[in-house]
Amino acid sequence: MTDSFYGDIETSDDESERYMLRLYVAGSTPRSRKAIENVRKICETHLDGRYDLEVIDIYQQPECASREQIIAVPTLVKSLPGPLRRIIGDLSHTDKVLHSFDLMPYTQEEL
Amino acid sequence: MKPSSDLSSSELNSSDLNVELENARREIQELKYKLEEAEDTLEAIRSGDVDAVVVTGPNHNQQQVYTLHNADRPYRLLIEKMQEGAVTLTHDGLILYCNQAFANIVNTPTERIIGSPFQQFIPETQSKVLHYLLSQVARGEILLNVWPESTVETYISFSQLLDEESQIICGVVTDISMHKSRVQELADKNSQLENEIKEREKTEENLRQAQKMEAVGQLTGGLAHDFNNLLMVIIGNLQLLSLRGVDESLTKYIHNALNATERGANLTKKMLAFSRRQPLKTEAVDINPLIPGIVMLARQVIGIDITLATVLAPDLWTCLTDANQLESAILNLIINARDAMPQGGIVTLQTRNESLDTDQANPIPDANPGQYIVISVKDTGSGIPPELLTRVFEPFFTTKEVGKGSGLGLSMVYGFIQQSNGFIQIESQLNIGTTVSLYLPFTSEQVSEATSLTPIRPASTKARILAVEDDHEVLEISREMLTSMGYDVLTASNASEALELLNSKLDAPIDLLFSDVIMPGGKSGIDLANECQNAFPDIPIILTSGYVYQNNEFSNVLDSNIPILYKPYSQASLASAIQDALKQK
Repeated sequence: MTDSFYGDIETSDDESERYMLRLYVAGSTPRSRKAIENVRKICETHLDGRYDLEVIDIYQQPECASREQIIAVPTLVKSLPGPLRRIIGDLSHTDKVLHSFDLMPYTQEEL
Repeated sequence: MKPSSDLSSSELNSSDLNVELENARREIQELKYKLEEAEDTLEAIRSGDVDAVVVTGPNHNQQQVYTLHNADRPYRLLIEKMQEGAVTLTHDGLILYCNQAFANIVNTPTERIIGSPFQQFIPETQSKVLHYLLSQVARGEILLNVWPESTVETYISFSQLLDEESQIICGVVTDISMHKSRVQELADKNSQLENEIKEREKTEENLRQAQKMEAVGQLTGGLAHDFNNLLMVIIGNLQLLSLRGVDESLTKYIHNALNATERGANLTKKMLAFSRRQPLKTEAVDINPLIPGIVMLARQVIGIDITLATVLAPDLWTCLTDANQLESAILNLIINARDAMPQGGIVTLQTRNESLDTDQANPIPDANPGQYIVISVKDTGSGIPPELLTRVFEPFFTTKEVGKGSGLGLSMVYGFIQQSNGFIQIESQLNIGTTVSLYLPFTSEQVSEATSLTPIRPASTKARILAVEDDHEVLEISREMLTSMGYDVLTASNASEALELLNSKLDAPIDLLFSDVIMPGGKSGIDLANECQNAFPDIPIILTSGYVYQNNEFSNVLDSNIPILYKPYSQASLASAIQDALKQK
């Protein structure tokens, strides 16, 4: 799956564009649990059902990690809508996640 | 993007530039994101905010996951805390790790287990099993040693831990001793149930057999009853005929006829005996003294080719039975023994005491636990095939040729034994011989002195007798017999008529009531007898019947002290009975 930073495949935000999310974790650690809870919360609050979430345990499927060039876990990957974004950590920084999802723009100062 | 042909060259350049600028901006934005990502990743790793790091393995197509901190803690806890035993082994069986549960199973501390060969924890007998399970990385049952000296049944499940350097095997060990004992319990219960079912089937079979015999008995009993009435008429008429003084030349015909009727009477006696409706005179009997007499009779019957031996127990108990019937029964058995040995042989007559407890009595049909006197007759004959053994007591069942046996002998013995509260056991082996054992109940009563027969006395007093009988011919013959004895006879064909006569004013009173028991019209002979006793206590009563009563049938007949004369009766017995009854008046 190629990502295009030219954004050819960008579509309008309001329409039913589905978010494809993949969360990579390492077994069932407290951090993994938190990451899972947080991503669920964010999705329910802001994506309103317009999402597909997969949780992949890299102990069980290590080859998946390499495919998406995961370096460390937990990592959340948003593959759709493009561009591809990766967020590392337990996702408790909701703002950062939303910004990464293009749901909340940074202010001029943050940039 | 294709430039519009309408735009000027300067405008073209400007829009090109704008596009390029836009692209550049976007590129920068994207780069910023990527940079941010990279920095975040490094920061997270540095500050320990990650659980694990993914690194390409030496083969470049594999990923290694390096776990930081306590990411594998839940797994470790699971293995440590679960109740099943867990071990990791080299493929040779060297233990690299075991959890506490395994240590508990074998009752050895973990530090003594790790580093030891797994073979150390199994009995010698299990070596092959272990070898198989390890080499095939399989699952199966295996016995483990439990320190110090016992063993435990377990189920072990091996699987391979694929590691590029070495072959590690891990195993989960489950203690199945509880499970096994449950299975054993179930198996035991199952076989117990099967035994019970077999017992039940045997009991049902015995019951069926007994019911069959009972049904046949009722048939023969009914037959015998009707037959007896007929015989009564024949015998009575013949006897009267001979008394009337016929020609000498004719008497032999009468005697031939009477002889035949005697044989007929014997036949009905046998039939009644089988249906257990023959009167028995049970008393305390010592059997051993009877044996010489029986042997003497038997020797006359069995011929020279057969040896008759006796084995008598010295302290034989007293038993409760009818001595005459017993003699007939034993003779019957000896005759059967003779017939089973046409080429000659040995018949052994044995008497002994035997006590049977519940377990011994159970498998034998009709047998109750208790103390018995056993009389057995053994022959060295051809034996009885097993499929026929259950049928030998059936009336009219015989393996002898036509004319050589009525088939009633053994059924008579059976009936007699049943009536005596005993039972018969028969054992037979083909070509070796048969043993029939009669079991008679023990009694502590004393043997009484034999009573002598009373001779026939002629009628001393003239008396008026009321004879009641529903069968017209039998009534007629009774009247004739009584009249020829010198009595005055009134007749009635049912109880109501009889009562009318009793109650009516007659020129002379009735001195004796002589009635059949079974009569139609609502009132039986017993009812008649009761009413007569109540109304006229001075009138003696004699009842008569061709049918014998046992236990629940007409038990009041047996209970009362009214004498019963069984058909067919001879004139002598009738005369005797009437005189005894009149005497008591």
